[in-house]
Amino acid sequence: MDQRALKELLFEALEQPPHQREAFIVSRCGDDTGSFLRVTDLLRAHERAEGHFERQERVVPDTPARQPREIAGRRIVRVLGEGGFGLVYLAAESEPIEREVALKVIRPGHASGDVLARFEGERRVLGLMNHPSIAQVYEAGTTEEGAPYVVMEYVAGVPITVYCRRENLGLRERITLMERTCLAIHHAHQKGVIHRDVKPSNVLVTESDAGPMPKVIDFGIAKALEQTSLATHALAPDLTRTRQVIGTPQYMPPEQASGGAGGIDTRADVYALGVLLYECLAGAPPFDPARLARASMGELERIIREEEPPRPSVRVGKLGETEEYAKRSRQLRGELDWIVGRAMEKDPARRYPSAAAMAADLKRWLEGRAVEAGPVSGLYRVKKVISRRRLEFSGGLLILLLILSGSVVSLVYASRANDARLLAVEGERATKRELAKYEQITDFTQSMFEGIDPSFARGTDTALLAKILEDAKTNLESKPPEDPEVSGTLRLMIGLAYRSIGDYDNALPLLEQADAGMGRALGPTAPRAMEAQNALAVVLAETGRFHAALPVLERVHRNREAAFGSTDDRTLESLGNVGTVRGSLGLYESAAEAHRAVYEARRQKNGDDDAATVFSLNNLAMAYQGMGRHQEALEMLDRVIEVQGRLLGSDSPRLLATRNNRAGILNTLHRIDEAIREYEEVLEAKRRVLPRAHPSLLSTMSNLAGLYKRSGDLDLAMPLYEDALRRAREGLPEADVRTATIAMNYAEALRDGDRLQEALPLFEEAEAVVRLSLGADHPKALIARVQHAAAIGAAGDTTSATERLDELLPVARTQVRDDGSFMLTLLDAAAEIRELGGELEAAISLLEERYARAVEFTGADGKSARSSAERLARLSAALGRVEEQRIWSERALGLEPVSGGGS
Amino acid sequence: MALRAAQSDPKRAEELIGMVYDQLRSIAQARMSHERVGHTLQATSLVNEACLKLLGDQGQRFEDRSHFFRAAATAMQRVLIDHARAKNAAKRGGDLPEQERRRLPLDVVDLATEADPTQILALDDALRTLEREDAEACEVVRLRFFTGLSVGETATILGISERTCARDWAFAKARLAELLSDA
Repeated sequence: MDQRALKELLFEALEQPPHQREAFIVSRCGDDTGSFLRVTDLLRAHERAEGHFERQERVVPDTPARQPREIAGRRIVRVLGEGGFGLVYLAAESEPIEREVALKVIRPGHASGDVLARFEGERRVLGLMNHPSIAQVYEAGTTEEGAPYVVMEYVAGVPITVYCRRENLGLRERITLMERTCLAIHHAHQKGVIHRDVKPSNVLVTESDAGPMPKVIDFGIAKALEQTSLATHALAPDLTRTRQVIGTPQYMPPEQASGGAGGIDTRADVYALGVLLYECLAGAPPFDPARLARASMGELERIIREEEPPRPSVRVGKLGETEEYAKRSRQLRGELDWIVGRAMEKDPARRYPSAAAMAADLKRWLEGRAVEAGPVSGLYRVKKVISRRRLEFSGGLLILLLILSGSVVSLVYASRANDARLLAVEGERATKRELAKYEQITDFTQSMFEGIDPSFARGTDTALLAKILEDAKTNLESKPPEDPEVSGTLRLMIGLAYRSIGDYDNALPLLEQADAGMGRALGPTAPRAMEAQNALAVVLAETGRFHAALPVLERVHRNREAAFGSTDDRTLESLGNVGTVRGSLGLYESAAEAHRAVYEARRQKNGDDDAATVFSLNNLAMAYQGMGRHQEALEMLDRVIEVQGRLLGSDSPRLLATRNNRAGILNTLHRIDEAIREYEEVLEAKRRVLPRAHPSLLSTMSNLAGLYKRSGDLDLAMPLYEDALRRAREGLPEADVRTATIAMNYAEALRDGDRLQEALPLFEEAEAVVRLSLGADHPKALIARVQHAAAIGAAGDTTSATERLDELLPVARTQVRDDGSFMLTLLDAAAEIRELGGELEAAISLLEERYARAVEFTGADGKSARSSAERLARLSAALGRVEEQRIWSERALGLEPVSGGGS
Repeated sequence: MALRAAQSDPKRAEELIGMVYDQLRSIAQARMSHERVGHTLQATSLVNEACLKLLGDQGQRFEDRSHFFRAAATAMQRVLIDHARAKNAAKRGGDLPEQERRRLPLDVVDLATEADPTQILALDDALRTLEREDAEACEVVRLRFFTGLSVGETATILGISERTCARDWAFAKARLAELLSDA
């Protein structure tokens, strides 16, 4: 929040009645705890300042001029609160006893005959209520001017949520307060009164001799009055104002949001109590207040009716990363999550039948007995959808599948809101509505898995999931649903789930089928068909099949452009993907062209200072880097880093990734010291913000160590490798490929540092792990095998080394696709072994193969081509082949074009 | 006169402030001889009178008034601070340099506040901090505090909306209270 926004918020808070200010700030700050603390500090300071500066202040800006001196015989002290339909004053009574009361009076113009009639009926009921946690209604009547009023007990308390936070209450105390609140509401229900506006500012906590006591205020008044004012205000142009007035979409049950006033009963209050409990437990409301504030009326209704908020334990875990939050999250997980979930069920019939039942469950928790609520909410929903779908999936299996695929699917479903609109336009077929439900499930599962890095899930124990996916796949193939969209979507989801565990062999065919099936049935430009295309292309690219991925991505881009227009975010995202894959294929010019188009479009749309704009600038820079225009690339990245630092903060993962790229360019430019410094800073930030064995942290450690190694600083490289390896062994699953990769890099450093004997076991370990988890013929396994073989050769056992080599090279030549650099590494090591074994001819032929591939991959001027030529020159010299030596030497120096002298 | 050029030229602005400073002192002195000690002078009327004396009818022009009040705020601030320094130094045994001592504006003793001089000095420090953090809010508080202008008048002088002015004022008060309680 910038200075201006901060001042504005403080000022607006000061315009609220004092006891509502903190709650107001909470509602505006949402998860932004930093801003919340800053503004509340200022608020407190402002209160202190009032005394200090009073003398100088001539005008008191927030005293309304219209404040009357007296209403219904009570002296008006000041305004307590203000709503669309009326005002609440603090008033002083002298009879029957001297006391302060709250006096609520209806604004002229809001008192229609209808309102008055209901108001009167309600008044009698209110008089009957007598509960220590309900603000007593003393009197109701009509002023001389004809405005209805109510005189109530004045409660000098603070909103329950504010109280919990301010007093830093423990869990038990919070729940005790909520239990009492539930009982108070239940008392009212028994008298036939529904509150309808249960929210923090209407549940105040006062301190009595018996400890903190909640007091429910504003009882029933809301019901009598808001019926008409809701409709009136919905038409008012100033929507923010309207929201302040009706105030509480956050606490509004779905049945009320849809406007069916007839369907509202006491369970509406149970829902609101659930939200209140949520907020007391999690420290933040279930729905992001900022988002609710932005949403249109229709969107608001959709959120309230359809969206499942994260469970309190998940929400609290996202508020902060300290141990305190983690502990609170653990305390909430399970029973308290369930209680909140039960109270907040979208379907009233599934909620607690009464506020008393909710109180009873809270009491059970307090007494350590098993609660009645169970973990049914989310599962029930999924089951319900499945039963509607009438597919014979095993419910439990599909649920797990959905949960596990959630985090991935979300990527593809990122644009679901727009797609949903398109679907509605295309026709309201029942299946499509059901698919919309699917998206909700995705939402739900996504919220459960939010914050988990999908790459982190890879390498974890996936055996169970693999089994589940296998079952799901078999089911799907044996009984494919008739509707092509349904079957296609299921294939898409299962395929994506496979992708999330790195099982590309299973993912790919499913995604191909999903793409083909939906393309045929729905047309290639149907949103869901495009999702399938996109997913397929992404998986192709991730598996290094760039040549195959590119046309698909280009197709997705064309289709999206046709469907959404050329400047739509989804179209631009596709074009960006096209650019990135072109870059991977070494087509840097056309990659730059794509990225530049994306960049210019985003600039037009969002301006220069925008995260998306500079992200495409980063991509453009990487294409320039590929074209050899390092200096320009570097300047672009500097700009990206400047903007990202400002917008996202210095620890944001995106910024760190950009700086990582910058370090790479510096390295290419042989500005090694700067590259090292950049990596060091990135590493420092990552050490701070990431868990100790986060893959991204480990990879930076390994990269930096590699750079140290190349710059000859083995003393710096070794401990870093060692540290990374230790972290990987502790934090990653056993026998993990990433651990093996670090072990291998470390082993190479040890080997280069003449510590071959220490390197050997690490090479051996790396080879074993990679073989085990990826298979002996996987490219990575081939690398590990060849490196190990080379080390064995270097240690003197050239026979064993040569045997190993003969076994793997033929496989490598047939297996390895596309990725040229990989084959270069392999041939390099292989040649080394031959050379060590004295087989210079064999070494030469391997190096010639390497040279040819290098030229193909990065051109004759590339580093790999030259290093191959250099070694060939050396070997030719050793064999006395002068002419060949001359040719290779010149090639190594870049003096002569590739043999044949053509291009 | 210095006024017109003060906007762009810091040296001229300094001249203007000096003029207002002298004027403020002399008006205060004159008032003090008529009104008994113990009567607190109103900053606003003081500044208004100084404005009239210095500008005459020109004082009706908006730009002139705007420059004048800004200068007046600075001048008044100095008056107060010099006074507080002197008083503070006197309390500690008076080890201020000779020159400072001669400038003691004893004639505005009762000017704006009976506050402890250390408080005034702390306020000066706090204002400097606030100026670095939020120059706009600082200008609002200086105008209001040292010339006694209302929110509406301050807004007019600064050419900002009344709401912005009230907002900056609220923030500045809160921030100053924080800074002062930290000190």
